[in-house]
Amino acid sequence: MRNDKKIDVSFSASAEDVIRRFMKVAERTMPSANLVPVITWWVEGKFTDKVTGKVTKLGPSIDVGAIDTKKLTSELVVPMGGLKVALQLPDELQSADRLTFDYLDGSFILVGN
Amino acid sequence: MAFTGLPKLESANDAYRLYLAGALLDDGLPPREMLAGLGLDRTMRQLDKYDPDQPRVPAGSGRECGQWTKDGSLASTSGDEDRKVQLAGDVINVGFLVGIAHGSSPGEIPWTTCVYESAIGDFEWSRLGEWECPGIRRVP
Repeated sequence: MRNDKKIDVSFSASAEDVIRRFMKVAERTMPSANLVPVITWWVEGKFTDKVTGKVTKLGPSIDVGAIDTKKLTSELVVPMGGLKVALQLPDELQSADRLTFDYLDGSFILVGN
Repeated sequence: MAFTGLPKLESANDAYRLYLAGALLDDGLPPREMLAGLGLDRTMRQLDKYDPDQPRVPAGSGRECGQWTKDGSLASTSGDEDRKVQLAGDVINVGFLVGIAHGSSPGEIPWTTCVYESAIGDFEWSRLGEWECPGIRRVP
């Protein structure tokens, strides 16, 4: 998973807005942790409704989480307007030259080559 | 005192401990540190949220009179408020990491599954490779 290649990463205004808002909740929820946002790739997911017990299959998707800086290992870390964002790139994207993240209709999407 | 979640004073020792706690606070010990030492996380969250300037539901609004509110309207005071934020029209909920599973079979790519709990449900997300799971994730 090591990524030594220089990749030009950017975020659309809407993606940056969601990441910053997410981090506000994350930092308020875990005030003692030293958190950075991390972009993750999921192959598949499953959601179990707490009230009805209904199970819904999800994904694949790109999403944002928060990780303690102590747990960062080989992530690519890029700046986003003064905030550092970690990326857990899948093998398929290790050779990309440029990646742009956008946020559309409730989901993160990837634009680029 | 009842709202702090502290137990009743049932002995002279309890009263003495309360006296010592008061003395420590008077000497400048932050309340958060004392509550953390007592393991009263939920109370800590409520104190974190305390803002004397925050508006309250006006008198004459029924049982919710005087409760904290964001804008004078009725508002929940549950701990779930810590796990979501509403800005620009949509809500962001967060889930907490409660489990990680790594697996692999001979000749196959290893995988990682991250298990999360949130106020609305439980999530499992999987991906190829061995990764650190984010401690908090956005609930879609």
